[in-house]
Amino acid sequence: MITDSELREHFALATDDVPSGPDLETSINRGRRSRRRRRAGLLGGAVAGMIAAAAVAGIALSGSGTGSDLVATDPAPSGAADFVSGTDHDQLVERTVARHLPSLPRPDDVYPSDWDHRGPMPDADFADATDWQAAYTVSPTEELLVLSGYAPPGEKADPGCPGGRTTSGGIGCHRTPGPDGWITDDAYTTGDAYVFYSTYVVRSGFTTTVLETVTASSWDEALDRRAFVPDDLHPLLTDADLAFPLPASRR
Amino acid sequence: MGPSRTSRAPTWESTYCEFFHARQRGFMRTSYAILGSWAAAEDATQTTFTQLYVHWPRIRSETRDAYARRVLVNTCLAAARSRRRELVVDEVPDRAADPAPYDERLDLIAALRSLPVRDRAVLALRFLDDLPVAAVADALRLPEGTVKSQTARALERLHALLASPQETHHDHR
Repeated sequence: MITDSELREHFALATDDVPSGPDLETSINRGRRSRRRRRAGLLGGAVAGMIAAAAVAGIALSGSGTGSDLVATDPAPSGAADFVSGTDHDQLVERTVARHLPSLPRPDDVYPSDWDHRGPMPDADFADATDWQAAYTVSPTEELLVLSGYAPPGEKADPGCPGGRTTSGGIGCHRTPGPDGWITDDAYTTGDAYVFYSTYVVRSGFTTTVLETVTASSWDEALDRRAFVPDDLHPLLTDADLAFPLPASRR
Repeated sequence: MGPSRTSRAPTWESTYCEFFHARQRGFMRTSYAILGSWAAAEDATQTTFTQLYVHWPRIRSETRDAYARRVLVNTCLAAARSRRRELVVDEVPDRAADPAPYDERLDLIAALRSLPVRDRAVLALRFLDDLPVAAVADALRLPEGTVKSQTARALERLHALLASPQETHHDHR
């Protein structure tokens, strides 16, 4: 019979010579992919429908210029991270969001996506992107996602608010006119998270959306924890700097 | 750390990296004690750290160790279940080249392999990680009384196995 102390020594000796170990880079890369997939999953329901429903006109925001080229010649914005090499659009998105929401931390990720991906598409294919997404960790209980891009062709345009509908917890669906389209503010719950979103759908079909995903046990708690209100988000939604031309391959 | 990773790093990632470096060796040792194979331990530890990355911003700093331990133990238990049909592989020691004719390290690991996986987990957490009963109960999501009784039974079995090492090659997961 060995004593507890001897058993501890046995355990220490038996496991002391660790031959190798996990790889930090692998953990981070796999973790990032999982986080991206989880964020993409939150695009289900109302917001995905709304984004997918916007018609495609093939032109960026009307009345606001042609937007930024995907391969811009401007120097990189000061302080913005180069998330996707070969284009400045990721940096432009980060800079634009920071201008309107200065309290946000740096983004966790900025990446291109398209109609075939709910989350990121391969960075190298950014020239074929139909939308760009910027993800932020606002607090331990809130993540924020900025999406801007084009909905698939042939889909129904901005559905607006269903007549008289009020979501759970009394969070109303509100419509506000924007410079060249309508802004919709609404919310839904996934069960363990509450998603507040504001969407600006331009007549051309270009759509910008901000989603705040708040972990909470009730609507009241989610509202209390939410970092922004719709009025904070509207100037960002209507900023023409987020626009970009629809790729030729998608026209 | 490659340049692309650095440029994409969210602000909280540095605390994750610190935690990784501080805990990876300990997690490997715990996983090895539970799974009995360094390769399986590496897989379980890698999976654990990936899971931790996914949830890191929401894990409070004061509960990180307890949270991580729960993820590690759950990952090891799941790995053990999935490896039930790999007994032949399990019985080949990772250290085939070890020259010692009698090796206490392998003796203990072989004895542990003969215990149910939950017994291995209890013993690893109590006697390798030196955790108090309450912390083990939290990691395994069991009442403290159950941890105490399970520890006593596991110790009894282990003592018996170590006293008769020739009987330590029957996996009872």
